[in-house]
Amino acid sequence: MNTAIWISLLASVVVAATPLLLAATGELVCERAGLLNLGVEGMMAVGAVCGFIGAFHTGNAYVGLLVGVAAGAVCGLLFAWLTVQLVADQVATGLALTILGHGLSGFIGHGYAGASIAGLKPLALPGLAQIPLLGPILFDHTLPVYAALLLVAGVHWFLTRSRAGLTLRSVGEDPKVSYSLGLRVYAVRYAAAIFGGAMAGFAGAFLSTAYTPMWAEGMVAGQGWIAVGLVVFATWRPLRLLAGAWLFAGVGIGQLFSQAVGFALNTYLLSALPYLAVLLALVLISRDPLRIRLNTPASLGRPFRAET
Amino acid sequence: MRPEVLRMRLVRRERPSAAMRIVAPLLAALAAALITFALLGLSGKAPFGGFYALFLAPLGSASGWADVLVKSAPLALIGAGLVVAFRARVWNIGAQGQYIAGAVLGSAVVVYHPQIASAWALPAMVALGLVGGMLYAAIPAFLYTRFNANVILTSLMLDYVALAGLHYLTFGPWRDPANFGFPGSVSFPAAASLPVLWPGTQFDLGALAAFGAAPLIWLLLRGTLFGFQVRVSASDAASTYAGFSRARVIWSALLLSGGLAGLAGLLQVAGPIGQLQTSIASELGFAAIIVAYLGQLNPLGVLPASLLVGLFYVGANNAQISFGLSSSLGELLQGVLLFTLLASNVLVNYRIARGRL
Repeated sequence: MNTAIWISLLASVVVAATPLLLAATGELVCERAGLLNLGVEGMMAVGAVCGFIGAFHTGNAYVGLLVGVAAGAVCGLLFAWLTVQLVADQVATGLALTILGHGLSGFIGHGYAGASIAGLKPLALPGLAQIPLLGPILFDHTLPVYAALLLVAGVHWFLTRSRAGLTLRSVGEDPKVSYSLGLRVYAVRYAAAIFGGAMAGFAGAFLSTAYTPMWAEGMVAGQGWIAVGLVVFATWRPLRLLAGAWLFAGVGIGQLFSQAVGFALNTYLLSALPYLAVLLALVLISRDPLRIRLNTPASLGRPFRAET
Repeated sequence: MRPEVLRMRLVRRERPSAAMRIVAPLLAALAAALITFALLGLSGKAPFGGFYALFLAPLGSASGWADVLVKSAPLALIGAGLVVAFRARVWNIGAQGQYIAGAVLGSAVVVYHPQIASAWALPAMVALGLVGGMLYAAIPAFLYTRFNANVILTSLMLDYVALAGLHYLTFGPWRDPANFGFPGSVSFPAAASLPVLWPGTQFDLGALAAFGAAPLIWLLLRGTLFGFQVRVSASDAASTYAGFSRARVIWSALLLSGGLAGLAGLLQVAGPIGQLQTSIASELGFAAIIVAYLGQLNPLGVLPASLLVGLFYVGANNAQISFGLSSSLGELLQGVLLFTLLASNVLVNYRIARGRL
């Protein structure tokens, strides 16, 4: 087997894992604050279309990324307003966000199908990119690929080492007690939802400005849902997200692998494989109820209201 | 920090307001209509004309009404089942996959007997459609009760698996070679097609039957022990206290909602569509989730809700043809309406008082 082929395969896994990693890290923070946002798929769609339109009109893909992040943040804000402020059901609100995001992206992207932009260029990190094997796999990519890796490390540090992270976790575990201790439960949940939305928007904009620099309806194609599954797979720990994202991205581009190894898999089976992989992973992770229960933020999905 | 963004405060009502349960959806519809109008205006495409094409034009003719009824029927059927699941706090998000499974299993009768003329063909297909949806819904039920795997995620992942399976069959072994190279099964013969009740339209026996599900589910929730268990099982503590098995409620809710989704799939292929093809998976399963919530998780509320969402589909199709607007408009409207409903539903449990907290 040719080493060059394997290097390019692994490099493409790292790239394909990026949107999953970005969206899942945002969702993880949101869920650690107690908010279950099932709108990731829709927020990614909005991020993708807004990112593309931003890049198309400014001619700058980086501006596109920023627009995508901002659009995602607005979606997160909307989610927080409904679930935190108006105590709406989190599951229903998340689903509404997914459907709204699909519809909105199709509506505003209507005139942009088939338009083309100059996508993000890879930035080879000087020095690191020259490392044999590892260099081309990890250090010769577009900016969001590095950003996603830094993000995971940053969120891990934030949750385990910072005071603000401790506040976020206690709000997710027990908002009532946190509130009575004077922690700003509403502000924390707003911030977490906005961050989650921004990262989903980032993930979507990565798809439309770097991964495949174009816009097509339905281009997110279930990756937002895989990101939500990934958070459970990682049992709400950021570093485990990395392994999960690479695993599911690897399954997703299994076609390339199977060709490299020299056998052809049925294309329809292949398109179902990432979802089957998430399903299998969920079952394996969940079968230990103690482990899953100990790791799940205790207030996840439950509404909180300061009684007056 | 306390909620002060709106400079108003919400005071919990002593009991949920029955009047608001009716008023809230009306407020939501009004708000959604205003937002739609604004969106059309922002897109620069004839807000008045677009608005007319969306909401009013379909209701101006008998054939328009028939189109709305045909579009609403599967939504009412799937939505009625989802009401039971959601009331029992079983988040079956997999209606789309169960719908496909029912359509596929029911279609097998025709695929393996393309010339079938027996009077038993339709009853057999209907039964298989139900069974297909139930079997597919049994997977998340099993994975949850046996392995504790989250129903939202498993049922959703299975949607994508079902779609891949549908593509495999319609492009592969079940593809009709006489179909000019288009993917899809053989066209269903008369004995395997539902009789049309409204000549000149697609309104058939299946659509009529589909609207009957909601009243039946209403009776089921109202008058049976199972209905009582569903209502009680919304709270884990209460069902443990009452001695009900939560696992049993989960199984029943999933089998019921999955079976009805599967039946809806079969009624589509044996009805308006007339063959098994890739486009049967047109997000109906997701739209039915909206219908269930719009109907305030009340089986009877599902009927007006499904008509409204059916109108969105027909109207969006209209607006696409006459104004070149995106066909996603229908989906966008559903999302907007669900949002405004979730927001206005706060009034059911809370009343607004002036001032800051």
